[in-house]
Amino acid sequence: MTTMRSVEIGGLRRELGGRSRFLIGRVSFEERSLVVPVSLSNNLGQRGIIFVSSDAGELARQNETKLRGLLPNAKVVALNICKPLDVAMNMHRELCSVLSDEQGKDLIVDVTSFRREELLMLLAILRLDKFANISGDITYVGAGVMASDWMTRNYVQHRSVIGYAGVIKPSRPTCLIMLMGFEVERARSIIENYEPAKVIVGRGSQSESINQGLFDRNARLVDELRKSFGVFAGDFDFSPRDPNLVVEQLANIISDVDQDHNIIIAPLHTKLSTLGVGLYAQRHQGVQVCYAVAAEYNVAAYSTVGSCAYMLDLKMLLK
Amino acid sequence: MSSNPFQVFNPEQLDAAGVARSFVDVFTDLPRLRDRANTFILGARGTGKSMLLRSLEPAVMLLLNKATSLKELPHFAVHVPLKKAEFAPPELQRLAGYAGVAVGEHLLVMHVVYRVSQQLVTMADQISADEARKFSEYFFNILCYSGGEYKTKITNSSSVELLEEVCSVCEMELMRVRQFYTRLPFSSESKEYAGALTGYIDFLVPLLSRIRKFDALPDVPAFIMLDDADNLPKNLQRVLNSWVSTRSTDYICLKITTQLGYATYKTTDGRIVESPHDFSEVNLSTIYTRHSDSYWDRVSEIVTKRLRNTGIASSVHEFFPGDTGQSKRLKEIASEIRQERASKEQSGEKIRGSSRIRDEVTRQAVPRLMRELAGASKSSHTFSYAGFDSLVDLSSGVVRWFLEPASRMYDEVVSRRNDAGFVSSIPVSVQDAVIGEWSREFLDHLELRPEMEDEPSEDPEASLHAIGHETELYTKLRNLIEGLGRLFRKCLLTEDKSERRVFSFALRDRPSVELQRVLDLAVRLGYMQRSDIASKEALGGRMPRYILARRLGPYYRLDVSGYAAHLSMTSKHLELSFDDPNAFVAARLNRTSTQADQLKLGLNYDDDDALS
Repeated sequence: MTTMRSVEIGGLRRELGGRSRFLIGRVSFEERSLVVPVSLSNNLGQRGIIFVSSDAGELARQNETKLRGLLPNAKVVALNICKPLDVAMNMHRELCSVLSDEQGKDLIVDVTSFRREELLMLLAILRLDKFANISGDITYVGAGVMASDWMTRNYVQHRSVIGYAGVIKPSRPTCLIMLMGFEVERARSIIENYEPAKVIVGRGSQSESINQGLFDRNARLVDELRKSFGVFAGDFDFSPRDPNLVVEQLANIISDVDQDHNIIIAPLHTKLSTLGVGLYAQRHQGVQVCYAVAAEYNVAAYSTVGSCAYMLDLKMLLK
Repeated sequence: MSSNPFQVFNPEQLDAAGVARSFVDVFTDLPRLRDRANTFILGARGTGKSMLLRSLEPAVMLLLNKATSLKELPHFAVHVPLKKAEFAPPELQRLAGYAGVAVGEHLLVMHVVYRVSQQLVTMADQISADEARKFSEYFFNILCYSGGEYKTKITNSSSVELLEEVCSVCEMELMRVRQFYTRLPFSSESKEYAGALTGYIDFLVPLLSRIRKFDALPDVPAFIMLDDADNLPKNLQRVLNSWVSTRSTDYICLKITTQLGYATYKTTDGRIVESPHDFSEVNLSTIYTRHSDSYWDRVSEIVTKRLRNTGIASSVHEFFPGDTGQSKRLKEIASEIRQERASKEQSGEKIRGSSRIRDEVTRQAVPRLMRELAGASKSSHTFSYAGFDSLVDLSSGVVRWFLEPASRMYDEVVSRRNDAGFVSSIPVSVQDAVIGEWSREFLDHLELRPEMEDEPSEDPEASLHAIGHETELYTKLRNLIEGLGRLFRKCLLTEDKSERRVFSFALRDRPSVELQRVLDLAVRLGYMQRSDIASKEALGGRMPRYILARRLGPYYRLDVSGYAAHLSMTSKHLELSFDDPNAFVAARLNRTSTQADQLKLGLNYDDDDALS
């Protein structure tokens, strides 16, 4: 289990403010991406690195402008998601330039609006030996409402995440493990592209779900996916919030899988559960983590800001 | 519980017996596949490419009685699936220049040799230990010359053990090369590659030539069947194209499948491989558009086979019955049409439409029924697309588009019944419900929507699948389809037209770059198919024709049966639809009402036999 604290959005400023901490974050079209920067904006000289999309649309650009106003001393770095190798190199270079000195001793890593692929790369970078002494908090701003009809569409590329290529043997069939969220079409496209011999589907556990509505929707979408592909080889519940619990849950499910399979994991749920996938894969290098690149996001209705944020110790990610 | 006879399975997960049991011979339609030549086989997902390749494997050929022994086989075919999981890592594109080509080619060669040796293991009982040892020794020798450090670890072994060792070494080499690419993912320094470097000409060709010397195997070229080459990153596609350009078809014939997302036909040194000089091309998507009778035959055979395999004795028409009430009304309408024609002929009135009454009935019966339903009763939604023939038409030449909805229909019937007993037919209501949803789902991918954010720019090194992702393209495509769907529906309901069934358009002029991109995206995603037709306006020239996927028929309430005419259009008209589908329809119909004769001239069949 991860020690985690839940903080009301209104109380974040009090929780995060008051001392100089280096922020690593990501701004996008989501309103949630500005919550932590707003909470830190009263800190004089607040520094950080904020990643943005190089081809951001109007709303994302507006948020970037707001961010620059809130944190004028933060460095803004553009990432081109069409070039994952460049994304990995740029993130690595930028973080190397700041984390090796004192700034790395009290970080805030806001994972709220990183794309899952970027988040997994970030995790792999932070776990490099050279950053063994960094410390601080991870923050995640929960969503209130997610878009009811669609969230992303038109998946133009399917690839593994840099640093998570796994060990794939041609002699072994593939077992795809999906941590399902709300994007049925994304899940469907991954299954169609990877053509696995087995599919195991995970659903966010009811007891840990942020609210009942989200749980019900997740469960319904898992059933919808089952209708398209028939019987799955297995299913399981996973924690939407506790990365360490996700590691244990994955370990249990994968230990049941015939060892003679190439294991591919598709994280499609919350960023916190995606961190769990990343932690598992970092400790089991044979596993591949995959990502489907979406051409379109439902910007107008993707998400609203929830009532609380979650904070966990960064050291938890480094073990 | 009875198993679903229409379950869509991955051909790779079938053993040889499973492939032989399910396969329906299509080679009378596709003779070029068996030619001793390099061939690209194009087709959307679900058109049966992998099944086609698997059917050429030695074990399957024997089970299908294409030969009585391995020696009699016309070719030695090896299936090499290029799986997403193996080629998904972006790290495979880290190396640039010569290093990228050399190491990439070695990776591809090892993939092929792994599959070849795996194939040989399955027939090891027919290969003597002496032959296997010679093959193994040769493999290790040339691998050593190529910089490999493996030595055979076994002596005095059986042919199985010797061939399994070759297989195992190839797999280890594959993993070693992948590790070279994927290790140190965040470092800009590239470690120097110190491993083996095998190539097509210096390794693969001589190694596979050795197989011809086995007593039990035929002295014929090897068919190396590379399946789903779009999964390769662009740099490896160029390596593959270089293989195609070597024209070593006396030794190896490359059969390469792609899903229309193949990024480049350039070789590693910048030349372009072309059809027919370097390879022949088979497009499964268009071949069945042109030869719909053949496709109907194939689907009928496939479905019959699947029904029998599950113990269901129904014929395809019994299992997928049509709406009897609708059929009865259509017969009545056909009779009315014949009577009207007869009266006109008697009275000496000028006959519009087809000269043959049979064709006139074919062209007019369903549209007249649809007009009837759309009239006062406002019951267009009651038109039924049920029935085996209709379902075949709706599948638009893609076998999977028949099987997937059929599978859902079967599951629906089973779930409605209290017992898990025998299903002998699918009720019309179930067929219509599933087909309606199936058609709608196809368009859901391109739902009309407001301006999108976060448009990623093009990556020139990406596979073609990534190039078309500007969101504007999708919006334009959606609007174009909407415009065409509505236009074709309006044509269907217009009484005074000689031909109301329209399902395609021919481009009369050169499209703009943007229009071409939208049309290419439509073809790639399966919303349209493209063929060329002789142009009446350009002597000796040909016009591209784009046919709407019949799968969209139920959504737009179109007549999907049989031959249909096409409309001749200009790019300017089509581009109107990008911003406003309604404006496109209005402009097109306005042109129609003022230039009716020209519209008539624009109605063509590309198969004149249909009119003779």
